[in-house]
Amino acid sequence: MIDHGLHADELDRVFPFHLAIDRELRVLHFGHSLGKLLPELAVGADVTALFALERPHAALAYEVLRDRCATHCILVSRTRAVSLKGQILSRAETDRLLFLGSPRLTNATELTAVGLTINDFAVHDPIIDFLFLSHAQQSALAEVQAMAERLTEQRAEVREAHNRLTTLYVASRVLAEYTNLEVALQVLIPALAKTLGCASASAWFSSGGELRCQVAYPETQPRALRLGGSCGLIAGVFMTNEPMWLPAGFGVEDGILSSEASAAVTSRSDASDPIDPPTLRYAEGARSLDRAVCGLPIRSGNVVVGVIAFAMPTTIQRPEDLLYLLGEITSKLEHYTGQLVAAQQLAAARDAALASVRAKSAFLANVSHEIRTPLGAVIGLASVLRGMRLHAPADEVIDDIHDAGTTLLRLVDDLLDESRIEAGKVSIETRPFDLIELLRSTVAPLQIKAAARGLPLILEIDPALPGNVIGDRVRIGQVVANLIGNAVKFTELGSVRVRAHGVDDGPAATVVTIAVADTGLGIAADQLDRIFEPFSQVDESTTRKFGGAGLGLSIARRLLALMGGTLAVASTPGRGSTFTVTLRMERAQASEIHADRVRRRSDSGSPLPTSQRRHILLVEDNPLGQRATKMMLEQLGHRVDVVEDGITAIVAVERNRYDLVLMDCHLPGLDGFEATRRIRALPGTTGRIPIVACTASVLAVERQRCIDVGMNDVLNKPLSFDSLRQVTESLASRPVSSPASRDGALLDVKRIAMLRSLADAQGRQSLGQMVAMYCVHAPVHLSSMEAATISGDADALRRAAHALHGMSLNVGAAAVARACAAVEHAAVAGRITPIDDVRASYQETLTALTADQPGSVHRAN
Amino acid sequence: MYGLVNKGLEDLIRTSYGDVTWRRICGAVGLEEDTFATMRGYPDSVTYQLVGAASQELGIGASELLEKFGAHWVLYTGREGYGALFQMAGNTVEDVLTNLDAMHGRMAHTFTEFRMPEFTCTRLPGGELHLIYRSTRDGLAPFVTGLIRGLGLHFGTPVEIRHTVARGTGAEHDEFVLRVAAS
Repeated sequence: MIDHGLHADELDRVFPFHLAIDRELRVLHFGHSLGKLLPELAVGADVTALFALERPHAALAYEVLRDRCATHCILVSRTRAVSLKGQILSRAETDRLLFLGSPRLTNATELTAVGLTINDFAVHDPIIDFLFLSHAQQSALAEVQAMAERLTEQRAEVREAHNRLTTLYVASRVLAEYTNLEVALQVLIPALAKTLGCASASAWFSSGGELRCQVAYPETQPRALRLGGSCGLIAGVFMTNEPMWLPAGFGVEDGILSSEASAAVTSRSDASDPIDPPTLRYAEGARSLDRAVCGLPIRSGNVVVGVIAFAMPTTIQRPEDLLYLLGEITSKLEHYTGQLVAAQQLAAARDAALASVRAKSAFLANVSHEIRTPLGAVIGLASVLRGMRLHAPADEVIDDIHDAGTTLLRLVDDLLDESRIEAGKVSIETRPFDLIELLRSTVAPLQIKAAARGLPLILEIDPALPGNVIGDRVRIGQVVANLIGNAVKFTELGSVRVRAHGVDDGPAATVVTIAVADTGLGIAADQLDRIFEPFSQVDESTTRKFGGAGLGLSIARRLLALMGGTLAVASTPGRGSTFTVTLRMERAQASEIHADRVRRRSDSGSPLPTSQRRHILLVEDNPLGQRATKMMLEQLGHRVDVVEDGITAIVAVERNRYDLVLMDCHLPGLDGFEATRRIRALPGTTGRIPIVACTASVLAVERQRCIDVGMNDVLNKPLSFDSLRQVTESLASRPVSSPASRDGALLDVKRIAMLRSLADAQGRQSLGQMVAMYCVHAPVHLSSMEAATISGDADALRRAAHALHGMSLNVGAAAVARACAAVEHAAVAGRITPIDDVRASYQETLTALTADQPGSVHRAN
Repeated sequence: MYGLVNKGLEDLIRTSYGDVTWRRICGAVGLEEDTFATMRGYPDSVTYQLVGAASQELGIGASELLEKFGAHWVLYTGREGYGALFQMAGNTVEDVLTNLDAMHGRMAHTFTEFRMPEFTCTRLPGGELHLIYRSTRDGLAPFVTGLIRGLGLHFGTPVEIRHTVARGTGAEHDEFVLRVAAS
């Protein structure tokens, strides 16, 4: 037992760094670890020679140590880089001091450096714990720092990725929007320059061995030009709005063009490089701002046609990323130019296909036209022969010729319709007509044909079906006739039933359904769709047995589609078929229908009374056509002169007084259009003679041309008795519109014809009486309008214009009505407009209307 | 276990089998890459799942993998700045093994959540070392084998290892007898 009640070995185990000293500061004994740390330590050694006192701040002395037992004591070795930290214990009765402590260490390396191990420390000594803790903390700190660095890197990567995606998005969006490369580049280059943070950018295209700048950004600011030398580039700026160019072998741009690959280069020098100045611009380029340049090739197919270059104000941080991005843009551009080429090829192919279709349609139309002209003559002549009442066998032959010709004409008309629909040249009329009357008149002749085969053809009309509708009477009749004709043709036994009914669709429209049901052959399910294809029939045997071109149903369905309707079929082989037309139609006013009926009644009227015979000039170069038309007109009781060309026609109208000129449009030498123009220029009544065009053309533009040159109406070839009868009745006495009034007819001739027929049929008010009343009342309203104009009374002007407008419509004074409507319209808006047009058209109308009355020069009574 | 252990396993896989392999292993157990922080404690199940997935991915047994991991552990911790701490335990395989328990004791001050194993190393009369390994965790004896092998590699001293007592075969601990070549 020694100091402090511990055995020496126990003290050494728990305090392996202890140091016991006497009053003279001599070493009495020490721990084994301290001896390992300081090998020079020995019993009896002078402590002051071995240690200095760092804490407390005092000279190393027995009293100092004894009196500062409660404070930290740090002994610093004078011989080694070691210090001990601990505290002093003192026992007064022995004058001895005991230092208990450990080496002062901050990390594990220091511990091993002084030759110690973990076992040199007492278990309770926290120094080793501290070293572990310290190390763990340092390790954690290093880890946090590493993570922070990685986060920074990742943030930069995310930013880079964002920029890349934004750039690619911008490129995609621009390229998707424009279909022209240069226009696309005009938008793309500024957008990319902004996204990439570039000061300037440009697009260069290879031309004649050099690169020419086609797009530059910024456009109006000093343009940046980077000049590439043999060993790098010089970033530069020059001030010019002139076209920029780079000679071959110059610039990074040329490098890209040669290598066909993207490039990114950081500037080697700002201004010290020699400038190769083929122009002043290069000297300007010495004032460098750009630090780097990058660019990409513009490919079209496999050929590099140009370069896009970007000038950057900073050095390139991640060249590999930038090159990757440029590569992506290159791919997009390549894809884009490929699409452009493909689109061009596609457009060319489409144009060729359309041209082929147009050529086919034109060919078909021309051939049909050529067939139609002589065919018309055949039918016409047959009609004439019919009227001659020859002996019985000859009559039958003539009937056969007439019927065969009519069938052939129908076929040609179908072909013409098909080509017209194909060429989009069919226009649908929207006029009021009586649908029930149409159905009856369509069914009636077919009933005779069906009856001849012992087949009942029954028409059932739903009471709810409105008679008054607006639409294309002719086309609807054509469709229904086709369906019934087919039904009759393909039905041997049983019947054909036509059912029509309507369902209101709102206050002003009706959905009309017309179903044609037969008990004929029927159609197999797999053939149902085919029958609507052009030139398609159920099978070849059908064609052989029943004839036809297989166009009827195709035309019917397409005509209905043009009218907004549909054609459906349901069929059971051996039991029959039902074709159903569904069409939405606007309903018409009863008065409009009445006018329509009257007009058509007069169209199909009885033979002409002698008093209405006309002197007609027929201008026709085709001898067959001349003969047929002349004979038909003569059978109708008219006197006909025939000339073959335009010049002779003009001479004829100057020398003779004709009631009507029938003018073929396509004549040798002076054609029908020019002849009409010249006749219209003649003075007096000769210049106003009614002229009706005769044309086989189906084109609407040609019909319009006829009207434009001053013709009064257009007749389709081949001419028939009916068409000739109609035109001689309705036009022979009609006042003529001059080219000057082309924008609107002076008179509503249909209205006038209707008034005249009303008078004839009912024996009440005659047209003459109405005109007389008009002549009395119209000047009164005209005076009121003048007074209102002078006084500035818009309301009075409106009332007077309204009254004259209605009155003029009633009497068929179309031009006056139009002029009044314009004045009335302005007056409603509070504006007073001159009534010169009203007065002038009234005077003109008055002249025409009075001339139209019995005794006028146009009436050959 | 502390993240340090999982990071050690990650380091073994990345350096020996590549980053893609480690990514696949993480994917197999539903972990993101760069998940582990050294000083943070993770459930033992994470480590076991990683070992299982790695074993399957690499096509080697879990014991073999753990032994590789044990050997790599010495290299990894040394490289990651723990070398100096090892050196505190001594400069020979015997010193380190002898002081291993003391080291773990010291670490308890820092890694407060660490359920540390116990190692008792004594010299047998024939000069061989007798190492007793006690742990609350199962199946890590191969890791200890690898650890000893790693120490031998670290100090350039071949060590012959005999796993004389295996836990679960009537014993509650593992025992090893080591013949350490003279350095």
